Amino acid sequence: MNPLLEQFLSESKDFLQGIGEKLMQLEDAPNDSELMDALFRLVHTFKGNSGLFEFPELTRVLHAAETLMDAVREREVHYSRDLADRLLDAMDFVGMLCDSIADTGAIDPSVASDSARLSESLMELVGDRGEAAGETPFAVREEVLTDGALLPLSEVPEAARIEAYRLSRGESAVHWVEYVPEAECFFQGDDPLFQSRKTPKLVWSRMVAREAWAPLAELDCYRCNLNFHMLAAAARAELVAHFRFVADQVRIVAVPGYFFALPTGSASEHAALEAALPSLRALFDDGDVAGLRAKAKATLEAVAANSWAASALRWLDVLAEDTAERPKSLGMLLMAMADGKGPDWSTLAAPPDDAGVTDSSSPLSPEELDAMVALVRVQRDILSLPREAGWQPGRIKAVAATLAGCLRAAGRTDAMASLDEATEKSLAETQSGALVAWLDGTLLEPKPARRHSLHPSFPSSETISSSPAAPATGASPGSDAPMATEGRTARPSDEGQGGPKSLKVDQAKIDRLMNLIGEMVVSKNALPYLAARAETVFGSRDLSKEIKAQYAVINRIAEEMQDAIMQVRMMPVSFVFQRFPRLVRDTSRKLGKDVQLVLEGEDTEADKLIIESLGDPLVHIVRNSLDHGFELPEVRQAAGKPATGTLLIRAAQEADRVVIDIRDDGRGIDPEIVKRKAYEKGLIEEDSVDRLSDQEAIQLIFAPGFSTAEVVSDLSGRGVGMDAVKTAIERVNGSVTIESKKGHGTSIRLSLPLSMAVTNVMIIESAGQRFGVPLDSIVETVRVPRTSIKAIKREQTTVLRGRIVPLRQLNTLLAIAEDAQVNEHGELAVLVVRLGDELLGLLIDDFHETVDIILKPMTGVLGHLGAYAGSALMGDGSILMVLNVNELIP
Amino acid sequence: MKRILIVDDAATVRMYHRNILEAAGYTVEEAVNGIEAIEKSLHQPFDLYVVDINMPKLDGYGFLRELRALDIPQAPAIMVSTEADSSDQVRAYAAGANAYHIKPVKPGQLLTQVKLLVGAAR
Repeated sequence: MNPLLEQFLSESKDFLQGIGEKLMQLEDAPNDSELMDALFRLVHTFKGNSGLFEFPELTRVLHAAETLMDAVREREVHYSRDLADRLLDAMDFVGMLCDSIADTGAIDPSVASDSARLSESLMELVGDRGEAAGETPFAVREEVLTDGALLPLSEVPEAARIEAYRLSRGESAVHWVEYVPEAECFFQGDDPLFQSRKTPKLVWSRMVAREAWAPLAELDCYRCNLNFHMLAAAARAELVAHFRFVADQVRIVAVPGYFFALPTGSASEHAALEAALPSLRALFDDGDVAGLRAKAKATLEAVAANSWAASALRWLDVLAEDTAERPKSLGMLLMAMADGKGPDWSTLAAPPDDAGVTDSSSPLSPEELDAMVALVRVQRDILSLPREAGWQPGRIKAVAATLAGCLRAAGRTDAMASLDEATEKSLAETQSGALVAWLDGTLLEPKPARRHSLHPSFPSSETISSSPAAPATGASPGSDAPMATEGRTARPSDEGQGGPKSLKVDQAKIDRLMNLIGEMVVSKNALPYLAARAETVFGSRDLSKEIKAQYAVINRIAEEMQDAIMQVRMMPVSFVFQRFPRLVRDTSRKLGKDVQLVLEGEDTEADKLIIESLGDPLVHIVRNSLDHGFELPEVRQAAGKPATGTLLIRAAQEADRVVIDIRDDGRGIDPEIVKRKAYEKGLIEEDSVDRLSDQEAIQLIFAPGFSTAEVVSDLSGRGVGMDAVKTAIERVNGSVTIESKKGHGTSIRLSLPLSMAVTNVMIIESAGQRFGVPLDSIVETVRVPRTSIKAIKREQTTVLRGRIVPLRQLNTLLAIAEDAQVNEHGELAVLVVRLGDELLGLLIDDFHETVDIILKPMTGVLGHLGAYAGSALMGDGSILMVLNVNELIP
Repeated sequence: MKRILIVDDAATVRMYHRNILEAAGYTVEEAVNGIEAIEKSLHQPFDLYVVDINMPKLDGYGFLRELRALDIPQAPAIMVSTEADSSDQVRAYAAGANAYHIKPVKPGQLLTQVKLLVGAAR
């Protein structure tokens, strides 16, 4: 899989988790704007990332989530449990998509509808906002036509209108559906034509070009330029369901029937119509509908069928079919016939009485209603409990107080008086009867749920106990509630199929495991002591033997465990290597150089910390090499080398170290230039310029503040030279060596430990205390006769293999007022350690064994004690302080 | 001003409930056992009680029984317990509770109920 995608998928887990957590927190603090911002940012970033890949289903949902969270952040949409549920649902879906991508590298096209449904369910909440702010013209809201001029109804053929008119007198209103597909809809898998043709109970439809068609040569046939107009006799809910995937692109307007009654046609036959009008009027005034129809039919035969007059007469006939409409609509049409235009049905259109009115005035949210129903039910149960003589009045009062609270919360103060009455009665009787009766009669009365009831109406107690959620759904009438709650996304992984193959674990958990195992290794080391005690103190040799045997077993298991946990932390070097192909390509192109990169041993593994610390130094080395090492192609050819340079980066494991070679075949390092530079910068003395060997000279590039570049380029040589590399590598107990041959290239070798978990230390003794010294910093241990220690000025020194080594008392460095002890041969123990590039001899009392320890850094109050690298727990329970040699010398 | 009394012997629980309720704007007082709760209620009755079951001296059931027997304005009581058993709920209701929550109380649920019982704080 492409690493970018892999990265995205791995990050997506974090995003999903973060979003989930934030949503949960928001549940408790729904007004926390910081939390909302954080949530928005998460969704926003996630969506942005998803846009890098071709997963429209994924991006679509995230986009909707982003829009929604933006609205929440802007306080345009209120945070609600429902909103959180929908978001979580959407995120589950996204998680499922990510899993599917991880498994198959693609998204099953069948989920497109889920994607659309979920994004729509999210946009629905935003849509409400748009409605309130009057922003989104195409939100699927309930609209009823009040002004015929708003829709191009006269463009609909008369036959279709007549059909629509007749249908509209039936059960459901006829709806005008305007579908404006997104220009990019074809890429989202939409088929607008098919969608419009499949509109339920379609009466009529047409397509119109949105913009004038571009010349054929310039026409982008992948952009949708069509608008769809439809008349459909289906119920609104049916239409909404049909267009649910493109809800934002559809407008559905209910059209009262009379709006269809628009005479159309040429004005040619007006005279004939005027002649017939008086008798038509007379018939209408008499209420003779049959006569009116007969007269209209007769007149119709005399006029041209395509004329306005004929059309008006036909409509007269149609309207007369409907006796209920007769008085007004017929009269209006007759008046319009006199004018030769019209009729303006808007005057007939009553203001929309209830359409689209949401139940916003209800004081309770669905959740609160749920809670209230439950509460009321409990109160009834309480009242039905066996009577308790002592506190029955108190109980009744408490129940009454509870119910009063509910009434107030539900805004039903009207019922308050009857509650008080019932309470008084119950109290007087010290029987709950009256209150129970009130409860059953008033609050739990099975009312027919009015569509726009402002008050929650409780079903009977039986229904409550079986479905406490019932009033909640009834309380959001007129909206598209069934769709919003439709089908939750089921995640296949929930069923345990195809679980994740890799596990992302918090580093802290691994570290804890590491520490625990470390402690186990240490406590296991107590067993040999115990064995010794069994033998010496308790005199049981056999027990000692058994303990030792058991120790061997535990020891092996502990070591395997340690090894296993190390493995968990292991990462391949390819983690850092993967950035180099791009880096080398871009950089060399920028410099006009031709460099081929060869990567080897990418699957070599090392501890995560080591791998991570490798990144920056490697980049630095590679940039250096490209910048200063490789020559321009012409120069290379002139020198008889292939024009294309080769940069080799090779990783390999050698014993317990990872070795990384970075080798180029460039111009190499000129020791003379290095020496000159070092001298100019005051890094070396004048006399040593000639004495230094070439290899020694080259090592100078690691000296702090050394940079050989004549010009500071924008790529490397920003004042941080190879010394930065060296420091970074040494920080993880690694080492850097460099070899270079002028004209032939440079080779840099990084050697790093495989793992940092276990530190190998030597135990030394000074002033009766034991200390640990990391083996890495120890050069040698020697015993020097006291007589061989000479003072040069005030410094104690000795000569080891022809080299003067300065000596220091460890006790002095640790502010212990004691001298190092001499052994029976009159010798002092000298621990020779490496201090940067210098050697230093530490005078101590004695050397002991070397051990593997788990080093715990100094923390808290002791954290500033630089002289100690940390501490470790020893097998006998004692604490070993481990010295940090580099920090020992002030 | 809606006054709510939290009756619980565990300081952590009291603080938890107090934080939830105070964040919503209610005035909260605390009692560490039933006896103290009775004393406080006698001094000035509360609008709502949030009561733990297990407490020293006088437990939640006892407190509610005593409370309901007092001749003071009675207010709803929410009982909070770790027991999810329905028999415990019935016992709580019998003792005089009006609602029952299982610990840890979900802030949203508690606040919804409190809002229903005593109205919004602000």
